[in-house]
Amino acid sequence: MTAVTHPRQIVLRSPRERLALKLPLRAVLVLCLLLLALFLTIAVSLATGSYGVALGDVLDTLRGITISRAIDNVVWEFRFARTLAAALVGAMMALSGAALQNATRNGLADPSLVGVSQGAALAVVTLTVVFPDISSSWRPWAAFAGAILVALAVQGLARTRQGGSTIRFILMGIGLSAFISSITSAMMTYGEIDRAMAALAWLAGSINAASWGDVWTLLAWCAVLLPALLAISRTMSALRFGEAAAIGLGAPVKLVRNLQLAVAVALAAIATSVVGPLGFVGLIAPHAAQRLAPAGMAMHLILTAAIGALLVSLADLIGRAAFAPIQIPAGLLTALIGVPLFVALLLRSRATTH
Amino acid sequence: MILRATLAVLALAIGLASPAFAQETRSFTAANGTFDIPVAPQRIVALNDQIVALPLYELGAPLVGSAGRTDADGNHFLRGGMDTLGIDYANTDIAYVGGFNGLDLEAIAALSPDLIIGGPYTDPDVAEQLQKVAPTLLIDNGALGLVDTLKTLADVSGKSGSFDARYQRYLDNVERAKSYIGDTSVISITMTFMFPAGEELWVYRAGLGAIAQVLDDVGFAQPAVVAALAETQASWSAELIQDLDADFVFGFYRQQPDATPETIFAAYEKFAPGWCQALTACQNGQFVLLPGPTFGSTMAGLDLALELVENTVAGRPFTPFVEAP
Repeated sequence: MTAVTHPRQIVLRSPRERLALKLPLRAVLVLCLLLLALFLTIAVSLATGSYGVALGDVLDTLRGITISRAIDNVVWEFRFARTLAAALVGAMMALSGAALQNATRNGLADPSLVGVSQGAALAVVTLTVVFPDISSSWRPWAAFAGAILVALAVQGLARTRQGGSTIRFILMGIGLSAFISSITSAMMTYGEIDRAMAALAWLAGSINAASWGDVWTLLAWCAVLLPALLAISRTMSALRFGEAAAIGLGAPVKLVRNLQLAVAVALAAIATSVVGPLGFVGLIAPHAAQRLAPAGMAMHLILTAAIGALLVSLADLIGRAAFAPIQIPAGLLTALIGVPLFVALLLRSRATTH
Repeated sequence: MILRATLAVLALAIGLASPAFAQETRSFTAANGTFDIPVAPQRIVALNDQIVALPLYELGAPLVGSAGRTDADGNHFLRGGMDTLGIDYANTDIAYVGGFNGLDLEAIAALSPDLIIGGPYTDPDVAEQLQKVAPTLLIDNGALGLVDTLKTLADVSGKSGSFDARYQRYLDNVERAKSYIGDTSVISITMTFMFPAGEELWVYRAGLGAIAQVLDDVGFAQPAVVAALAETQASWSAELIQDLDADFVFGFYRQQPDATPETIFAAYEKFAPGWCQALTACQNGQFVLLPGPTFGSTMAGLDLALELVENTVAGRPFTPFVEAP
């Protein structure tokens, strides 16, 4: 592989030049900075917490030296697992938002806007409040099933005789989300109070109890879904110019759009099933990636994933350590950051329209 | 010299062995499974303040940490702690480890507990993570009821003796109260819970802390609609407030800056204008407002609640409620 550097881009070529990859220099630089920031956040996360462990002891523990069983638990089981889970969940939610925005050609699309998060939440609250005797290990599966069912319902309801409509998809998503949220609220209000309390932390989007099992689950799904998304990124690029233009370019529009929606829903469903609903990550990250470094679709997806990972890792670190032992759920912090950004995006898009 | 060395080795061996004796374990089955727990735990962390920490503290159990609440000024407090036992984080060695649904796992680990106790409100995933620190028992207080929960907490903390003596005294006092009051089954009492905003009124058939336990132990009746509730509590319609009429109504509220007897009465008026005219208990001064946390799930709460019932029902004449034919 050889690398040729042009003023604004890097071109990577395979030995016989069968494959070439053109990378915008700015995007590469931004990606490096994002990964550096993510690495630093993870490092600070591993070294910070309510349990006082000296930095040297943290490093020794990470090298596999057991100083004490308690330190092993704190560093490996609590800090490392939740830090990695936060990064993975952030990347998945961000990618889900990017795929949804591309598929619906609506910059405001987000997993919570089309009912995925609400479906997962309803399933988990139902399991916790109505069927408390069922083991909590079923919670991720219930969340996944809830998310998928709602996504299918939205897609089914959005279909017309002429086929799928992105506007109908968004509107149906909003309507169904509101309907599902009201059922969830009713269950939380009128259900047995202890059971409702048990569901509260999950509903707030807390990474508090993430374990290595969760990390492996997230990694396994990432390993399947991220390549799937990258594989269709070329056609996704064509879709940016509109359906007609993409068809004109010979892209299998219908197939790719359905694939995008399926991957987007799966990404959000898996992430939500592990940590609960995390608002605004899927909305903000793709826009931030676009603003920081305009790039081709594949690079845009990678940047989006890095921003999502950084955002949720930071939110988890701040929520865990800033006011310890008070624990602020990451979902609350991403919403706190997300709402002003959401408003800014709306105002900006309005200004652009005018 | 040899004797001294032998004695030193013996002393060291005994010293090393004594923690092993202290950590003698036994098997215990909680709502989340069966665990090996210390026979006499030395460092307990409670994952709920009112339901777990207060009863444990009252029993004299070695409580080193507890979940709690945070007021508007950012101060942590044990719900009902000052009201019932006069304790808080500030005047005890109990460490704050987060809210019951926002626990700081590292803060709990830093306390090196040998037993952790939560309940059905504890996130099961959090309980699973805490098993890596110490046996984490989830005691289902809803299913057990107040007395069996206290009994279980006494059992797992190795304080059954303290509990049995105090509970027997309570039972004796219940019998004494019954002898004063007479036939308690013909006296009806309703339990309600009102919030300061007056948006909702909750009616309890059972499960409202110590007062519900005492009313049941003494043997009072409830209005038919309340006794027929499928769940232990229900959100009540303002239009049906007259159905709650009884000889006495015990109206609970949560003590907080915006909840005083005056604001709670105003909240009832907002919820159901003219409510007092609809309830003869209120008309006759037999509507009793109670700050909820004081009558929480402790032996002190049971004693206080029993005294309250004695004073309210047996200690003065009252106008019986006659249900319309």
